[in-house]
Amino acid sequence: MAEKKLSRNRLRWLEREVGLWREDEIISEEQAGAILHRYVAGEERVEQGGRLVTVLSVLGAVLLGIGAILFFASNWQYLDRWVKVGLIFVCIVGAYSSGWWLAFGKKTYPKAGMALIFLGTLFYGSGIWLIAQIFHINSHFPNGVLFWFIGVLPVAYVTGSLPILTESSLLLSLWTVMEQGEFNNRNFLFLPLAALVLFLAYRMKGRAAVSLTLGGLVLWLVLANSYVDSPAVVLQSALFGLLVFSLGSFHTVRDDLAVMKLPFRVVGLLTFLFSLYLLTFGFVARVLEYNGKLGGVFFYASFAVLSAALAAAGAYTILRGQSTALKGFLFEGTLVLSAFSVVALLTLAWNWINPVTFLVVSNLQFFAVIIGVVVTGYLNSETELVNLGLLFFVLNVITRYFDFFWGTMNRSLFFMGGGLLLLSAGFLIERNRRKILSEMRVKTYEA
Amino acid sequence: MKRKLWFGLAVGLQLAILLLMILTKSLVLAHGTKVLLKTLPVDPWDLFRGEYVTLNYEISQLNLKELHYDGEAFKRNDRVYVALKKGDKYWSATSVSRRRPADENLFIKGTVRYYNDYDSTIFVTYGIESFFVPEGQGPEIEREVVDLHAEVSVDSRGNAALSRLFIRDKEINFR
Repeated sequence: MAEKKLSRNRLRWLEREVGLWREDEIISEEQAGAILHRYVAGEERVEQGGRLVTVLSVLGAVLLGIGAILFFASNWQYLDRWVKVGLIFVCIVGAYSSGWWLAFGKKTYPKAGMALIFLGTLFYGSGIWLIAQIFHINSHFPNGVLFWFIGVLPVAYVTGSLPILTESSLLLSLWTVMEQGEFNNRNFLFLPLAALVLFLAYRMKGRAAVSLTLGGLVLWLVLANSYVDSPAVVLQSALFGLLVFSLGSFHTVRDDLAVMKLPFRVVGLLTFLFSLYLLTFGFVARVLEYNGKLGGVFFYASFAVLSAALAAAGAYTILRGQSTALKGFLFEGTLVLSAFSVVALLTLAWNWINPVTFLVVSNLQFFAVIIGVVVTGYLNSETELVNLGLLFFVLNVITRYFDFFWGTMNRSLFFMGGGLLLLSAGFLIERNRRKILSEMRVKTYEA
Repeated sequence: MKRKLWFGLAVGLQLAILLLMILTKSLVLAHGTKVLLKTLPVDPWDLFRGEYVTLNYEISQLNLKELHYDGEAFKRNDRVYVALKKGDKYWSATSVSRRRPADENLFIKGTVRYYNDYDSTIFVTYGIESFFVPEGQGPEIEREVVDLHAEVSVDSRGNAALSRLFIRDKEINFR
């Protein structure tokens, strides 16, 4: 059994508690020894301090960078254009060289050095906008963000900096939103670039970058199809969310991949729940009635992809003979597939059911899925599922309150009622969430 | 050592991108043919680049019934070449095509943004539609809807760069 690292404070607490358990004869001497042998003192305190320095330096760099962007955006007329260009070049080279010197040359202030390199990437971005401003360039402005991304990604790779990698993935997602939103392009170039960022993020274990890139993929899909048939897009994004979610579970089959399970599950679940949430609104039912049939080639193709991915993951798990992972995976796979079947059935039923029935069914479905998510989270001891499920539960309650009472109730009563509802919901959820989470913790120890 | 080299190359790539942006526009400005185009302003703001005036040129909206064109229907995002001819003072469009003109006449490269089948007009952008101004100065230009024109440099391949803006023949200068 590998030793787990604990902070010195926690280890001290554990030693004290184990001593008390031994005295009270809850555990034997051997068991006490076995428990304590599982843990060693880690460097957590140092790490925490280090993280604080990173957060502070990155925040400082972000503020400076935003300041630079806003300074040039204000187009200060008292500086000659070439002085401004010279200034930005000096800032870029200065930030990079001093950052390199501190982080990799002298190695005395590695975190501050990395923050300066991060600042360099922000200066570079403001340089792009400055030059666009000076030369009145407006041709295809999303290209500015693309150039920013292209320049920043190699720096993230060479320096191994996670904040810069996160910045790259944010820029990539921003680029595709601008490109597709403004120019209605399918923007297929986004896909290989997203794959590249995901590859680097896996190598560098950058979970934030994976989350942002997955978020970008969701937006890409929605925008690429947004002018086809709007309710169909909602269903497609629901499906895509499920696919991303189940790919998250797949990460447990290998230890070195397990760290990436969380971003997939959070982004997948957020997408899935938000899409189902959209289906619970009356306007969607009305659009459906107006549009009639769903043009569903993509819909069924997605179904095929999802099923194939699940089958492949299942087969891989069986071949590897990991029974626990298999159990969890099959359980979730079944849950995911049944949730999907309801969505699929709803879609097929569009042509035959009236809007009111559709609304009732989609609301019931949303409610059932939320319960399913919270229960799965509880059974698997996964706090993110419980939290996300409860979040959408509250969102749903508030939305339905607005739906039903906004038009019919006196405004003052409406707001007072709403306030009381929120307060009591907050109280109940807080109490039950804590209870569920603490029960989950106990369950983990029992296991 | 190897890492230092790669880092230097990564930073070099960034500087090269910036220099390329400057160079492409500077070359067009320095060597392109100067043309005067009639225009109208609107006033938006950009998060990164600040305040600017959007220019709507006479050549932004082309009526296909009044121009030479090869008869092929235009689509959104089509690349087009618009031939320009000098009038008394201003330049105007004479033909529009998806193929690069072979003759010696001056032409400007643009992208079809919108096609109106009903009255056979296309809306084209040329990458010269934004004129950046110091903060708070946009509305001043925006009010000038009477006599506004822009000096644009156009090179032999149809690339354009906006150089100056005039109100009633007086150059707008913020200094």
